[in-house]
Amino acid sequence: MKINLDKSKKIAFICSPRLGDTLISMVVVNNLVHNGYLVDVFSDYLYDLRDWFSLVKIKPAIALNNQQDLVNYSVVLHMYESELSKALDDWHKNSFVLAHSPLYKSPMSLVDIQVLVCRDVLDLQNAVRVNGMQPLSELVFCKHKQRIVIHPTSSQKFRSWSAKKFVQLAKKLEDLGFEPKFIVAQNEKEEWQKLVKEAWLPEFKSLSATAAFIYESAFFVGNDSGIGHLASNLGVPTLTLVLRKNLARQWRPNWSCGEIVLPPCWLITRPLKEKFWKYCISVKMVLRKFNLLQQHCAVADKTICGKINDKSFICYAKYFTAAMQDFLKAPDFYIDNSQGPFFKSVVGDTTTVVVVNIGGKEFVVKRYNIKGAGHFLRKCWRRSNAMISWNNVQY
Amino acid sequence: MDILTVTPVAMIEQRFAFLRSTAYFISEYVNSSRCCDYFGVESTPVSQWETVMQNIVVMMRKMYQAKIEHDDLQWGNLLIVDEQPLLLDLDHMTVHTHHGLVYQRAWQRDIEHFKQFLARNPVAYNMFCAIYNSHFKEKKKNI
Repeated sequence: MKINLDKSKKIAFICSPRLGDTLISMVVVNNLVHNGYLVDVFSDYLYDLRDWFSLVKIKPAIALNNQQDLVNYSVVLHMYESELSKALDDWHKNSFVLAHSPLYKSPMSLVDIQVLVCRDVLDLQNAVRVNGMQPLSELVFCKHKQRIVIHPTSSQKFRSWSAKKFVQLAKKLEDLGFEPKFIVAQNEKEEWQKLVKEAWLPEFKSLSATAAFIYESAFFVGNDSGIGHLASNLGVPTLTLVLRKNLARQWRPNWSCGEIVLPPCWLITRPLKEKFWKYCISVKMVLRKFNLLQQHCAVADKTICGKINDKSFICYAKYFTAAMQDFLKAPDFYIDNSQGPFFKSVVGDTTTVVVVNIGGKEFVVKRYNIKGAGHFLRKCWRRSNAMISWNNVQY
Repeated sequence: MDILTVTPVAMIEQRFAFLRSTAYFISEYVNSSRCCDYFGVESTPVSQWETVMQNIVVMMRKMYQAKIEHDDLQWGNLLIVDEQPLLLDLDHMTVHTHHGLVYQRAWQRDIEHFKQFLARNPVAYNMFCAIYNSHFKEKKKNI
């Protein structure tokens, strides 16, 4: 499937009626705009958030009765099939549904799928996984370092973790010194007022105000929902409770640092998972993942991951100098030419520990050697001890 | 966690397709004496030994509270920096979820392993056992 676009003519982009899908589909719009195409976006959610997408012209969603408004657009792109897309098929010759592309079945996150769609379906240059959402100038990212936004609901009830457990989680987080705040829709408010104290239920006049509140918070915890994608899009670390692994692969919030909580692996088959997943995830499990998220975020901001030749590396940004990059390319050369001291350098040993000089500073390098074919076969498919050490040192 | 350990710098993994080969762990160099030299067979007891030993037991208590199993806890894997112990070699470290029987056994293994090496210097060994028994068992009630 390839769609030919003309830069001189306007494109209409019809978003899905769901917030998460809408934000993800904006990756396509952002790449179209950066490639010089004129795009008008139609979405009610984005119309509320239009100040956050200053580079794109956003209009409210088009009702089925007003489909003739799209006559002036040379191409109409829909993220998913809808009543409107079916109606347009009858008279608009260039109406396309992007989700009909087989790329949508790829086993990767939907954000990355959008990048593939840009590259392979729309033939766009330098496609990136950014959707162009820019924070408002008066806001300060993570201003409230202890505030955790909790979104305990979702569009479908079976995708929501138990309300009682969310309240227990909030109490535990409060005991740890955090400020939990619940975000719920207006129609859910009455029910939640009975469950949590008033200070935990802030009021929002619009989706833009909700976004601003999330942007100034430190963490987001919630069900697999559009608000989770919004938080991730704003760069807030997210902890998402998902009922199935396959669902998480495509649908987890995938912009900022994030963790997911899945039901235990012994809960098998889809119907069982959908029915019992919420009972199998305990508050303790969520808290454990939250601790992990905190650790990962603390490290992720400061590290650089990359690949040089056949070596993949993780390095703290403050040490990533030109000399360190040279070392990362050929660590063995530095070890072999080291002046010592040598802590462990017996030939045939499993490790070599030596002090090397990198850019005038001394570092200790521990090399985990492969002793032979048998040793390689035992070790090659496991996590390296270097990686285990790296993770344990962060603990 | 408040347990001193090396400052990590980088980690490298060499790969052939998806198969992992040699790996490297790079940390900052700390110019200090190793515990095995500090309490070594030939070293003579100094007044700081007791403070250092106290600090080692305090570190062990923090490890116990955090349910950490080191799996190679011995004097070669401890550095002494300003009288404080600095823990090395975290390749086999495991963080347990409960203080249950599995962890208790692992913890005993770690302590016995540490004592086994320390026994080469009877003065240091006796000092450690005295501090460990008095300090650790009293505090254990409060853990």
